[in-house]
Amino acid sequence: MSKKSEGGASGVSSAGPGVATVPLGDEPLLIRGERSFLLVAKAASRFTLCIETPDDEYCQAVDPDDLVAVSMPEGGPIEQARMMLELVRRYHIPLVVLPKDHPGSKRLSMVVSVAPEILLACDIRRGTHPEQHLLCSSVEFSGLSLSGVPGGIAMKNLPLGVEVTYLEAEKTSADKQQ
Amino acid sequence: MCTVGGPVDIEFNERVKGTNYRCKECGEKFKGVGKRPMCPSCQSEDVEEV
Repeated sequence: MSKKSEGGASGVSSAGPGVATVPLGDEPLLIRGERSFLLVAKAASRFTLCIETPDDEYCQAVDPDDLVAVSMPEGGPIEQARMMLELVRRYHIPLVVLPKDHPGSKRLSMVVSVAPEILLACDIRRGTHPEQHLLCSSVEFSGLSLSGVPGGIAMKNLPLGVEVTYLEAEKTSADKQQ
Repeated sequence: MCTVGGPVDIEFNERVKGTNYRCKECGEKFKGVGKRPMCPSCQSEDVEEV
């Protein structure tokens, strides 16, 4: 079980107007609003991410400094988001994109993007956009921009009042057996 | 709220466009996006556009 770090993320600095930079290693960063949250981490390795759309498969090369972001627009268990994040960045599971107007869109409690830069938007239909630079969010995070930078993450248009904390990196089952 | 059932949705002029590649190591054919494509089967970066 992951534990929330005490206090906020340390080392937050400003890289210009409206831009905050947070140092980030392997541990995910939790960005929590009033009703929703985002879990963001560095991809940490180079791998191929397969994106399965209704018509085709796209293979995206992911770099270590790219970001993996899980959005839960209505909130929910953080552990659920952490599991999804690790399934993508550690086990490289493909992302499935629903066709427009698919009825399953409304049942998705979380959505994922993997990209060097990710823009949060509340006016997209959940789970139906293969573009990895865009991720569905709640209104409170809409307009927030996340960029992977060497050694950290840059956040632009971070809403006031959100809590930014680190989660401890989950140990692998092999680690636990040792 | 995030749009889950209503008519509002952002549409992009530029949809995802992949480039067709073939892996020179294992022969896998795939559609790659982004810089420095990598084979999804053997992870080799020795790929060529086809």
